[in-house]
Amino acid sequence: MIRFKAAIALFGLLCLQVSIFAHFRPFGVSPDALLAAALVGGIVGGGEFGARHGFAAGLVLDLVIPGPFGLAAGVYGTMGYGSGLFSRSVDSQDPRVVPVLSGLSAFVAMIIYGLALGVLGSEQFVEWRLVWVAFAVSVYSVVLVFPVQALYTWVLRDDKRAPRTESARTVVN
Amino acid sequence: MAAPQQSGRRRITLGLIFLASATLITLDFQDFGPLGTIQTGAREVLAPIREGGERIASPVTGLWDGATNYDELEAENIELRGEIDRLRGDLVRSGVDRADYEALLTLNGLELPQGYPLLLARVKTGEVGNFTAGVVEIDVGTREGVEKDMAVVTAAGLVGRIEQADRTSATVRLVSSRDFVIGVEVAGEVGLARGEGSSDELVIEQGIGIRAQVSVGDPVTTTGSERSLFPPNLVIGTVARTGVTEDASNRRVIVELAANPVDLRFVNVVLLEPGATVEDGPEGIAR
Repeated sequence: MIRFKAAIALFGLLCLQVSIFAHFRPFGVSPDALLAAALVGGIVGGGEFGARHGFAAGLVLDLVIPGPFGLAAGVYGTMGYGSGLFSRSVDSQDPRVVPVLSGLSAFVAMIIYGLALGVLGSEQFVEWRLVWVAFAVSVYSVVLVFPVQALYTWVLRDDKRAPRTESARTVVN
Repeated sequence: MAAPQQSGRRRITLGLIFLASATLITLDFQDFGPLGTIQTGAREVLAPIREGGERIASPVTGLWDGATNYDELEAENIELRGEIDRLRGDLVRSGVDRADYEALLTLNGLELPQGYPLLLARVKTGEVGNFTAGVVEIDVGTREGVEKDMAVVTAAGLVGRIEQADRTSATVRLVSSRDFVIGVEVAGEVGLARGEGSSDELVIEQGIGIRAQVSVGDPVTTTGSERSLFPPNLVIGTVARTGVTEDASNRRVIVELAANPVDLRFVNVVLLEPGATVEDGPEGIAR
């Protein structure tokens, strides 16, 4: 059941990304709903769920963006894992943890993605604008995290098997 | 005991993700067919959702742009008025030049070069993601005869090539993009030009010998050689500056693009199969 609900959540966020967020680009930068899904998935569901779900989120984004296929999957999967792991080491009851952690992780994810693009031959993205893009995406992620967190609490709610980590139990219970 | 097992399992998951990602990227760089098919299928499925989003978002984004870019738009408007005046003058001069040119062709018993079959396309707005510099999407695809590697032009000159063609849309790699490499002809010499990532320049660092007579203002066109994807004599731009390469083996030529690939609204796809010319006859023209 959790996989079905996670797939529905990803499809819904993909539709949001390609329809509204593709056009709504304040200051030239578009919010990244699928990155928010990867990060919140990690925070709510733990490192392993974050890694798998982040990979899936990146993969569906790779289907519609012109970059190298598989790069977003790798970066988002890694960041989902990292955010899940890091959230275990902080006080998960603090309401500031999820937005702050998501914002920071989104910044790091965008920098890694841009640098990886540069390594793979698209050097034009390795410039100061990358920092601006990362900063804007991290700010949008802080805003996006609240509805996305609600979504992933629903995704993981009825699951009897998946939430294995402390942070996941905290949210689910 | 459970914690180390869990930790080990997480590490395996992370390792598998790295491996899967690296494999997919490698397959993509190798142009692995099924990946392209899956991407095309996904874009086709999402196309109506994207178009719906464009219709919903355009009034809001229009208002936002109007509010935040008013000064920029006003300055652009003034600049465009100046450009129109300059073009009117050029039009009159080129009319005179063209009459002379046609008279010369008639005198020498030559025919006017045939035009290329063109397909008008609208540049779509709303790129997905934040790393789309160097590409635009257009609203025509394989249904209209568009194929990978076809040239894309405006009235001013070459703006890019088709990178990916879906049924109803296509992605254009812009000529200014750093990934763009093209064979060019300048002052009778053939060289290899590369995009610099800037909006209005290309750089030629290969093929133009140190003794070549290249001057500022010389026209730069496509070569149309056997290995070139593009038909010959498509205008690319003019020589802006010249110098020598770092190893002093070739001329380094900076080309100012004739067509500005920024803020494109409409473009034309040259409906010739990549590598074909009009002289190849009707079979060269893509259906």
